Amino acid sequence: MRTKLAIAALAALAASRAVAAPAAQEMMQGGNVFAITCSSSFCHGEGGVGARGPSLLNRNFAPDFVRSTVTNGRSGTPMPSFKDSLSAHEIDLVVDYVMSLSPNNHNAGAGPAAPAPASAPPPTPLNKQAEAGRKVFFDLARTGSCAACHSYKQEGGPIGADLTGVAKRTPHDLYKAITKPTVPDADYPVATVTAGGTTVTGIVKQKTEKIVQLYDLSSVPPVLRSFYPADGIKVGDAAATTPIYAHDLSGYSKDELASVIAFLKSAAGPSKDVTPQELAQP
Amino acid sequence: MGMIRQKSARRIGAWMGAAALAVMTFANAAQAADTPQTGSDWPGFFGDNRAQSYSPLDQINSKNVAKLQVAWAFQTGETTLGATPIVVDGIMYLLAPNNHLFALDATNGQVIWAGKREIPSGTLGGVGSSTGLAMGFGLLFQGTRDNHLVAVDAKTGRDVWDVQIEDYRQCKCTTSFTPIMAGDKVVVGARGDVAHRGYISAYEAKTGKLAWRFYVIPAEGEPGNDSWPKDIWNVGGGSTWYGGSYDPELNLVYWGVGNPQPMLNAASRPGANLYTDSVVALDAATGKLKWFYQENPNDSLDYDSAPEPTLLDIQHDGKTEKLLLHANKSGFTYVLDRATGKYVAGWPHADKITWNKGLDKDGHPIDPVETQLGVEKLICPSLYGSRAGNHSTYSPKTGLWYNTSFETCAYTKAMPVMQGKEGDMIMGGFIRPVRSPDTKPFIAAFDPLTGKRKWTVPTEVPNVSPLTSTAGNLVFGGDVFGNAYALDATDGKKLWSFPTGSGISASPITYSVKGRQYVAVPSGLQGAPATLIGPLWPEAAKKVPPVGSTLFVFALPEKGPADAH
Repeated sequence: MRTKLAIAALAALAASRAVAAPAAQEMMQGGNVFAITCSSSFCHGEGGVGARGPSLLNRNFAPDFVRSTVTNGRSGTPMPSFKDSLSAHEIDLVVDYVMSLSPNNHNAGAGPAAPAPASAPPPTPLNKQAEAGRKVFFDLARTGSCAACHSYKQEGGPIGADLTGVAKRTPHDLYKAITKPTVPDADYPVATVTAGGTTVTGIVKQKTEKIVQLYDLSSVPPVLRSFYPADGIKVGDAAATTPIYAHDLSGYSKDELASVIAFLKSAAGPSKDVTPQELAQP
Repeated sequence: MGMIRQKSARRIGAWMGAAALAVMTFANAAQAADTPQTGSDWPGFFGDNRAQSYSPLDQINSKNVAKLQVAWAFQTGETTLGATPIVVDGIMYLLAPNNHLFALDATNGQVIWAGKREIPSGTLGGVGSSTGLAMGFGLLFQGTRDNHLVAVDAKTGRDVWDVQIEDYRQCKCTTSFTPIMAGDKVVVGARGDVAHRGYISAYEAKTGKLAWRFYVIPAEGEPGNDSWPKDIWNVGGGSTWYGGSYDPELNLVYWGVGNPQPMLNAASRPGANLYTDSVVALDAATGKLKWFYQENPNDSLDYDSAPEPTLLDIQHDGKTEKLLLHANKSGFTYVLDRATGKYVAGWPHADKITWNKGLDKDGHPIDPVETQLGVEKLICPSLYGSRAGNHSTYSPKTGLWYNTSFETCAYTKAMPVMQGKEGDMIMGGFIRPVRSPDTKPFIAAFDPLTGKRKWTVPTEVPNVSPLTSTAGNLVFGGDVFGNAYALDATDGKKLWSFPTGSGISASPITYSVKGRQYVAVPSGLQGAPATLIGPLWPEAAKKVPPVGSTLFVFALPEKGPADAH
């Protein structure tokens, strides 16, 4: 379905999609209004596949929900109200068109304005310090940015541990883990590969007879490098004391590290300030 | 025309004779050897690193192009084809939608290897991604939908390195239309018209190590940061979504920077908003800003400077004038000294321009129109641009620059801005696009220094395909109705066309293998401008065929035994 709808206007004008009702002519008009108003390259994308805004394919919205969203917008999201920009007829056309993007829609019968949850409820807002910490965590402009390797709630790098689960640990404990990471870490084995005269040391992603993949941490963001035993490479274990896990914190102040810790701790509940004193005290 | 400085106009006049004889020169032969060049190959998205989309091949030319026939076709199995293939040493590399990468024998389309990367959910909606490749050191460089830059062994298709540029879930961004080569580095932009601090990154081609990253918005304490309000600069936009060029002699990378955010509400971000809507020149070794030229300060109309910076070398009194030509979505083209960024000339490449009263002596817009809160104004061109990601071409042989104009307008208004976080889409306004009331879309040939038109060919609807020129005195392109075509480069006359059966929005290329020249045309309509055809040209849209995904490759009939059959 998605593929057929890759281009809204064209799909609409080709009218090749099987749509029982409304009439093909109206669907084409709806597709046109949608293309001009909702899809542009910035929002719901060509054919509603989603660009910067959410995808509208197979969302099984109830029609009243679509109508009220188009008419009044959705507060707390970038979705604006179109009641001043589109006529009532045009809104009808858009609603029909959006409904047609969910061909197996069990909510399609009129019914009450059943809310179709467009996204998870907004998370509890972070306090000022935790928000600053979130920015530091994800700021790839900084050497050694946390998110280059680590993820938080699945966002970030795939190399180190996901840090959503560390919220219950004390600020001191987290500070220690940041400044003096455990070496070695059995979950993240280190290996060296010598190929074509150069040796690369990195964290092993996979090591099979066919392929050896290492995260090369000698630059940020880390590079996943692939080597092939068939090419005659040499694979060795790196010394357990390898400094590969060390975090380069030279660009970070203690206050910034405290803010990152406040951010990480906020996964367990409303965010609270973390003071530099707490970092020092077990 | 008042667009050009008097002094420049005189200087330019003196150049005119020489322009026709312009030749590309590389002072440093050693650097040139490392630099992909068109010849028998088409080694990059824009051909070579000058972003001219020009080939010196002339076996196919204005005298024989009518005899072109299909040599082979290749169906990707995908549903659109917005990709520009590259060809190096007889092998074609094609990046089809959904991270689907093919290596094909460029003489017959046989698959040498194919690879498909997994695409996680929530990546950008497919448009514009999977379009361009760069190649160097035996490696192919591919930007992925999920915002990684990947190096693949060109011989085997095996992964060599893979780096996550930034988490796409965080930035709601992906890679630019294409990476480019700059010496031993591969340079890539960040695409995403959202609240984000745009950048251009360079990676060591052999290892994938980040060499530098240039943020297109200066940080606090850096020059230019004061052109932004305090709390907006770090989400101020500046998507570097298209592709750049590289001058090995000056060792400079050139890249166009997109619009600021929130897009249509300039009052929410008082200041010039540097370096959005600018062309930037960066030291290829360090990423340091050498110069910038801002075309639209405090833009409220989405007039990106993202289109390709084309490098022109014009011979004058035995000296090579090193220029950069750059089209803005606003309908204006700018010519700059590419060593210094100094403004040389500026002129309109579109017919319908209502947003200013021309350019002043430094190329700055005179009395630019701004969007108004809650009040619609009819502004031309529309935010879809006089053109967008459909590149122009410059032929050193004719000395002409070829470009398209969409000729659309839009009722545009600003709307109150909601404070957003990184990755949010904040339009800050609303538009209703319409056709230009009194002009028609066209393709035209321009004198690059004066903007004087050599010829203009009207098109029924906007021509959304890029253009490619050759030494065979030809300009190749394709229309939304599916016709691949060749125009005579000197007068615009259509000399050849072929119905591919699906609209064309990607670039024709040309290359040669074992002495036979080929022209490849990707067929499979995609991209934002194409979505305007249905609503704005409904009568013509009825003729637009369904979307396909096929590469057609043409050549002249082979002489010899085959003719006997």
